[in-house]
Amino acid sequence: MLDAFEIVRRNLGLLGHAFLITVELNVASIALALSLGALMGIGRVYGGHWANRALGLVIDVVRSIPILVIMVWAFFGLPLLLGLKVFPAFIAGVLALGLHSGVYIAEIVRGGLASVRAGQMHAALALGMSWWQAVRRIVLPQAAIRMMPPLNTRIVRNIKDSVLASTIAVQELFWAANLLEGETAKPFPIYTTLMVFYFIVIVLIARVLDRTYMKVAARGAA
Amino acid sequence: MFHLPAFLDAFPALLSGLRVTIELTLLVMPCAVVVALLLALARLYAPRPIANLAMGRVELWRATPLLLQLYWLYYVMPSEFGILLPGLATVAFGLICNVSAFLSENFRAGIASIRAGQWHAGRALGMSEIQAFFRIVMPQAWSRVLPETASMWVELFKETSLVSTLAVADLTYRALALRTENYRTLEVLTALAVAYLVLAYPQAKFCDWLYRRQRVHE
Repeated sequence: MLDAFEIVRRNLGLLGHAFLITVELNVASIALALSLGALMGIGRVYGGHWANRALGLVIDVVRSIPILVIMVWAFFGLPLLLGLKVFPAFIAGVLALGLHSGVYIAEIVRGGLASVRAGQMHAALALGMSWWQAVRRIVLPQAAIRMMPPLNTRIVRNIKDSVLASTIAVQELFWAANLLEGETAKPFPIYTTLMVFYFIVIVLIARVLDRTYMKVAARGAA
Repeated sequence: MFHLPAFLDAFPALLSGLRVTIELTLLVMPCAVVVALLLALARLYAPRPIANLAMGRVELWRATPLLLQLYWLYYVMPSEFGILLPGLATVAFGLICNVSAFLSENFRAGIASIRAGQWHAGRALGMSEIQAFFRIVMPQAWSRVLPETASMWVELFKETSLVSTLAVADLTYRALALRTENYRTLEVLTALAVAYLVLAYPQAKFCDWLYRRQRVHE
């Protein structure tokens, strides 16, 4: 364990930077995933038959491809397709993670919206609200609470999947760990420390998200 | 820009990798089911210390990234413990540990959802605890956990792609190798994505069907 302290102490700058990248990668990709998921989920429920079918197909296609493959494709393939000379790995990582988590979130949003009884929508419309007002002020708030448990699972999953960005050389924590392993040839302290770090962070985040849900759960009851 | 023949030519080259991907999935899943069942039973029925140990084992593997787990096993087992396994065995072991942790939570919930009356009825008919479990509780729990287990299978099928980072020549590894040989990056990587899509899509649809069939109407 002394090795671990020594390696961390000597490379504080590198690890601090890598930690920041991991945080940025996750914040950006989760924000993208939530936006994409909300749009696609709403589109599936309220967009009519064909929008539902088309979005369903997109979701199933993305769900069938491993995140690693999406990531590698986004980094190496996408710039060729778009004719871009420079394409930052970070952007590819955010796009891949955001899209992958986004399609799962779309299904969560769809399920949540569908679980709010149609009477709620009718009542809101009868009170003179516009369709968008009814969705935003009546249906979504109720659905949002019910969507929280699976959403929380997905957010945690996104954090775990974000280490895959190391394979396209995004300089996040796992990338830094591999770099240090290459320099020091001491896999045990390095990987064990990172494992413990991820364990603590993920358990903490899961706990906080769970507590937040518990506070509001009663308000989402059917 | 997109060279169709290069795209089509990529598929035969991916075949040998596909075999490894399928073999790995077929090898890992049954082992993971057995380990998961043991873990679930330990958490539900074993004495406190063993139940806690099983819980720690499950939480540790659920709350850390799979790629990190695989790297840990791959690099630390030989260097610290002198255990030298072939790459394929190492990643298979890692996948079994990971998948069984997630599956055990599913199994635990499934077994706990069978009402105590079912046990009592089995016991009242003269069955032993073990008979009651295997003949009464498990068949009912099994149909409840089946959809979730099937999704885990699809998940595993996709997650085997991570082994390519540890030089196990699966589908993804073959594609990445082919890319550096012929520089047809876009075509080869698209072929890789299409290969996974064609294989996983029917499996995912089958899972959706299982979920629909299993849904409880309130």
